[in-house]
Amino acid sequence: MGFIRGGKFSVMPKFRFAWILIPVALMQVLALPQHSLAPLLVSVSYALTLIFLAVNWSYEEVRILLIGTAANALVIWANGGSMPVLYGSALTHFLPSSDLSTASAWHNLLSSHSRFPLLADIMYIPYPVPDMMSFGDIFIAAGGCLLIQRLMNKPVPLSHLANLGMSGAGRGSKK
Amino acid sequence: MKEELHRIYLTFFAVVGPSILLYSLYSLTDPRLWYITIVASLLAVAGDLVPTLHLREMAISVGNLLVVFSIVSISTKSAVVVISLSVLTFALIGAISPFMMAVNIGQAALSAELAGYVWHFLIGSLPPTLSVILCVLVYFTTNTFLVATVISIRQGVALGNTIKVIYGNVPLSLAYISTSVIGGVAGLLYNIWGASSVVISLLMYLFLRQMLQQRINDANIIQDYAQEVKRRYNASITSLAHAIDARDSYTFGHSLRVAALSKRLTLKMEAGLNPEEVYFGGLLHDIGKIAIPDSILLKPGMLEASELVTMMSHPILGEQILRDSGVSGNILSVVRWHHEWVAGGGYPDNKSGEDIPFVARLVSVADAFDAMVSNRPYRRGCSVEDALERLKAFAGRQFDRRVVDAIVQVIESMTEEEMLAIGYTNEPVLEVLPIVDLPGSELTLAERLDASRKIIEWETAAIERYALEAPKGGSALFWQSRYGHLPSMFPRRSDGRRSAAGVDADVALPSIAAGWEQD
Repeated sequence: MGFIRGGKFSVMPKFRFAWILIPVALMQVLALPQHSLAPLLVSVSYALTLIFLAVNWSYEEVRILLIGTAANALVIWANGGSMPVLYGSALTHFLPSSDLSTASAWHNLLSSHSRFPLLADIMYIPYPVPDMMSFGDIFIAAGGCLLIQRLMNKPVPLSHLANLGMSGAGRGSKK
Repeated sequence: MKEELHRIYLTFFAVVGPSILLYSLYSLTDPRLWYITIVASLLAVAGDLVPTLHLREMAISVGNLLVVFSIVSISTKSAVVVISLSVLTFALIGAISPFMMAVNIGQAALSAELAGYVWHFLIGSLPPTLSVILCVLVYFTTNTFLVATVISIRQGVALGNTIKVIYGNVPLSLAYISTSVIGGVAGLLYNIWGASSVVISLLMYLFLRQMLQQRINDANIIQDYAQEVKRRYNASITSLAHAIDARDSYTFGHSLRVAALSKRLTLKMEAGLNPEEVYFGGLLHDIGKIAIPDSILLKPGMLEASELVTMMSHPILGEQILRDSGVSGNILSVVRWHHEWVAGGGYPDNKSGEDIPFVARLVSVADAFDAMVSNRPYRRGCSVEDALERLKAFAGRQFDRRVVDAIVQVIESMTEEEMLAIGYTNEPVLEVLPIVDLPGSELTLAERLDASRKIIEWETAAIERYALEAPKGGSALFWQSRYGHLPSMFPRRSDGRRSAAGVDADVALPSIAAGWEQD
């Protein structure tokens, strides 16, 4: 969508402490194969991501990402380093076996023992890639979308949307 | 001490809010509630990115509707989640600090909890519609009250004023309550008919929103007109005050300072006066001086008796000028009676005591103070302490005692920046010289050249100005017929010789205006 709006990959916004992302990526890669340390790595990587986002508080997109990441982090930390996934008919669409623990190191099955179930991976999204989304994922997707727009030098300030609301409701009320 | 209490108060909300939110997230274990909670939260976020109704200072969001909907149809815990997300969205747009975000979540969550409690308490005993209305009223009152407390703390305004402003804003309250009631009704319908009832609720909501927005727009237009009228009124009064400046810059500066001081006094004394009105009264109190001739108004020396009598007519002249201008009675009384004495004996009407309107007594003190501390051509101003002492000495005779006490407090509490901002300067006081011709031999050559340069500039400017009015080609006769004398490079001295101060007339200075006859 950024390309449709005519942006280019020119300006990289100045993020502070961007180097934090390197160990984060490293940890997540390391946790891919089955590891006894995987939960710990995932939790710590989420903590670092949160710190990175918090430091870059001044960007609007980062704040959205922060909300989403915080929601996911809360669920993951409370459930011992892995994200609970709701098992239902939806899940069988892309995961034939019900053995989740072999498929992914940082997910587990949602049960009555899982904490903060509201924020877990409970929504089935069939398009574009069949996947289970969580509440935080929605915000991360939105934030990422806006961030890419900004990277393409066409940032979308959230206040513009507020003005959109005004135009529908009457232009007499300009501040 | 107060700041401590405020900080504790805010911290309480900042702690309670996220705790309630976390607890609600934790305990929403019923899977049937998840989807609807998430949908409601996302609607709240989307609705707050595009706030529904725009008033001037605030915007009504759809979050309130969704909160009541959640309370009625899902559970109080979902309502807490929904309203927290609504608050978070506002924080996103406005980049509020994390602490204030937590405080806002706290007050929203507490209001939602209270409303939810009321709902569950009433639902057994009262019909559902009545419970909805009561629940909405509780939510509205609590949330608005808590918001008012936070706003008044953050902006340092008295709580009573903030409450009056927020609750008294009828379009705002109306919009708030009606959208929340719609939310409650939507919840009831959802309980009965499930998801399909949302359509009707949406239609109701859009209709209501349209009507409310229309009314709000009208109110905004009226407010704009009122602002414009007020602005023009202020502008015309200020231009009256500028008219004084054209005659006498000292009086203008004096009027500005008196106006600022009077406004401060009004705010300090809280005597039921409108500070803006008192400000304009101070600005215009000497406007009668427009009608005083220059020979008296701009005389650098002491006034003789006859001149004094003319000068003492300026209050009456000022009131006559302003009588038909539409200024208020308070301003007129300031102009006419600011030279009255409380014990009697002032002018023009020799009033005393309570007969003198309080506004006039107030401006009289400010007027006297400024007159005492400012420098005149014939005397230096006294220091601030001396001026205050003199005011206190005359309190009860010339000045109202309470006003004198107030001005003492005000002056003593003003910082230097504030004094400078009002118009006083802190330049060192120079010796005040009587205006006489300075003998040339006492000036250095540089000073003489400087003086002559200034005179040449003045003359050039005058000639250029007058030259525009002369017929083409210029004529000394035109000059003589109009101004009664031939143009001259140098002003006349009292002994008849033409000479710039300190410059010999025999020294040849370059001729500026060729074609004019030179003496």
